Amino acid sequence: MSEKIKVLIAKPGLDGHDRGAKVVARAFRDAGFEVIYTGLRQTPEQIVNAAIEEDVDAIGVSILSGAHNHCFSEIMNLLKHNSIDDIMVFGGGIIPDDDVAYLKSIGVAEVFGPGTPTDDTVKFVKANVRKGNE
Amino acid sequence: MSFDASLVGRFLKGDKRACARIISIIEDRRRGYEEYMEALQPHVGSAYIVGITGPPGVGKSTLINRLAAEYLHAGCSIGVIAVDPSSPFTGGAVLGDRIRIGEIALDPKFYFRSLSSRGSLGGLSEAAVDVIRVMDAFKKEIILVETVGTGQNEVDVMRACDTTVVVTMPGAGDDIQAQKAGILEIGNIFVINKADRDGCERTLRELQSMLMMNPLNDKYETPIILAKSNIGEGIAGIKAAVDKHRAYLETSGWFSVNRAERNARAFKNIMNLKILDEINRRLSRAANYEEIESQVKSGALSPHRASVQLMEYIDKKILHHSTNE
Repeated sequence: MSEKIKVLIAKPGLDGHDRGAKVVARAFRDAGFEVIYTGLRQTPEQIVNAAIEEDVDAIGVSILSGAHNHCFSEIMNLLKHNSIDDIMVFGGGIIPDDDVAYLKSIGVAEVFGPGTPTDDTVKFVKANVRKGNE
Repeated sequence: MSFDASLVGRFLKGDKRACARIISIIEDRRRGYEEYMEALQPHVGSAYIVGITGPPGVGKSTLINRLAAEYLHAGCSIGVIAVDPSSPFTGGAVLGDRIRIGEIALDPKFYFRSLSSRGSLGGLSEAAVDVIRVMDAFKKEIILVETVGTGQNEVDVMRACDTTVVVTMPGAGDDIQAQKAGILEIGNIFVINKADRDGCERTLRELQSMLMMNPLNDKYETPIILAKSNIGEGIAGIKAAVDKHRAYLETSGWFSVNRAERNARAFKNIMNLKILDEINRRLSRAANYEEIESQVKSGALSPHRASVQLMEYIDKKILHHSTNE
């Protein structure tokens, strides 16, 4: 057995649109990753707790409700609070450019908007997680 | 990566991240993982291990969520290990068993970990058994282990449990029938979940008649419990049945016999895998290995003839060589 890159795909907030999250989860699976899928309506606490328990390399957050600034900053704060600096956080969904700049300023590695080929997301994660670069 | 004693120290103080990291090291079989197992060994042995198995879609994850909540409510600390299949083609997996965990997810006495079966090369059961031991050392009093329950690997995981609960649902009688080699023998408790569905009576009768074929035991009668896990019905009954089976194992002496056998089996499985790995490693370095492999690929050499040639090589070069060392 060998080391696999593990990604948590999380769906915070109240919107129930998880198609994007599922498509991305599947793309990671097909690329040989292990994906932990948390399901809908997860709180930032639940997401960070799951990331810790599953010892993932990255957290992918899909959010379409507009509450991205709040959700991402909660997640980043909780990671910081737990002294976690080796889990990469990336996002997807409908997020305005101005907000993307803000999210990057608080430590989100990348934000993938609608229409991004899943391959690009997979490649980005592979190139930027701790395990891939060891 | 070398052995990190401070990681074990944090683990023993109850640090969840340290536990998560050690599980990864052991699951990945990273170099030196044995040292971690060794360091945890003195702390292993107090957890009670309950396996939950059954075909996909019968509601195992929901049942586990409810059962874990029941134990937490009773003051027990709980570990859950959910084993899901990975793709045999890419090795990737989507592990979705966390979806059913409700509000208990953030309970400090609760720890949930997903494991993927990582292809068909074997080793799943060994890794899962070791992860059970890690959770045991992490002071989880009850460990619930979920598998789909098909195939030898997963039967092996269930054999590493003290009590095995087989979950089915109305109309899934054929599934149980198909799995009965193995599953019926290892089930200590049967649950018919989604019991409000049509055909419950019939599934109950089918199960009863199948269980009648098991060898008679006048000290323990295998219970069949009707449940509706989505609304929590039957969960207390399942917990009581687990307690009853545990009491039976402990008074009859089977508890320690089973655990001794389990340790012996783990040892044998670990050795077999290591021997296989080592021989394959040495074989792949053999001068003519690639040549033989390409002849097999082209059909010039039959797989059987090739295997005979390689066995001769193993006998002459590997085994003979070692005995002279």
